[in-house]
Amino acid sequence: MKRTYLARRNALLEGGRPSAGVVALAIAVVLMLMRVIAPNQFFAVLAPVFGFSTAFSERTHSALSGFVGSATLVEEADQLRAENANLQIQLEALRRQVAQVGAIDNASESIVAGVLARPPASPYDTLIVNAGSDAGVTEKMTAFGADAAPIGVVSEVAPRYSRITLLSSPDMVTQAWLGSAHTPVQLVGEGGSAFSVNIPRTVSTRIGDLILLPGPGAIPVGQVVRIDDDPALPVMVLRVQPVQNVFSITWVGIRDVGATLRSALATSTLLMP
Amino acid sequence: MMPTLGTIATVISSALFPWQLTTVLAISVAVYEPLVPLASGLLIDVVYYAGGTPWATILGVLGTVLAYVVRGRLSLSAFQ
Repeated sequence: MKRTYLARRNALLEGGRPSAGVVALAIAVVLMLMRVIAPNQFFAVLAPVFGFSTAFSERTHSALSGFVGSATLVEEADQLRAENANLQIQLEALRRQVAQVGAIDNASESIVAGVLARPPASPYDTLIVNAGSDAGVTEKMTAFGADAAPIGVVSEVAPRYSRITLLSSPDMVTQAWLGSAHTPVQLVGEGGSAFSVNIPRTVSTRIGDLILLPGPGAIPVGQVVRIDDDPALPVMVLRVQPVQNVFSITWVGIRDVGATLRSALATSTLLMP
Repeated sequence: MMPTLGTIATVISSALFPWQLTTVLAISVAVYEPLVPLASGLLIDVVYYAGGTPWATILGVLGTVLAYVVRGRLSLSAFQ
């Protein structure tokens, strides 16, 4: 007996009504028009959605953490010890920074913004925050994480919301320094909150070296976690992990920075006028 | 019914969940609703695009084209 496995049907219309795919595409087009015409209202509509996503992730993590085995707990403990060691390094770098500056400039206060959406929900290494032009945010301002590490640049501003492109976003190139010798290098975004640095084989480096932004204070932005050394190549590739974990970031500070730091950050075609 | 639920899940996942889950859902639904990959890719770019190449939309277009090709070649009858 002949049985139909997959009935041929119109992919656009079902019984005279538009199919679910057509409706989904129409929703996407409407949202796209809303983003172009009324970006503030667009983000206002999405803000509760992002909040639900964050809350859902936190509750899911809390529920699943009860099933964690002892081996995983040991692994987490090792990871926390490594993070503690990294924090000690960062603390030392910040102490050097304060010693060089001499005093904290209270005049340059940051605009504090809550993060609504972050990677991996955002596939382009961007953050969406709930502070916009009404709060004084402008394009090309720098966003800083909790430990005063620069993490990105404001790329789009609405009255009450902003989009921050992370330094690890693909095609973002940042001028930086490597290690205590302050060797000039280019920090290339690889996506997924990761960086890479190509250096000549003659440059001395080791795992754990800090990547710093040039200028007064030499602010750390990342740490070398792996060195890809192919003897057939004239360069080594350093894999760099950012000092700020953007996957769990909840607040950022946004402020305008000095000319030296800005010139180091604005070297991507994304930010070119 | 199931294609409609899958479409709704993919649309929601585009804004809420990582793109990897959205990709899996879109591919799963694509044979029944070929426009879903394009819609989900466009949604991801509408929400998160910040310049450069709109990879989500491009991959969505490719997914939709592939879904139409697959649908055109699936036999009408698997049991005769």
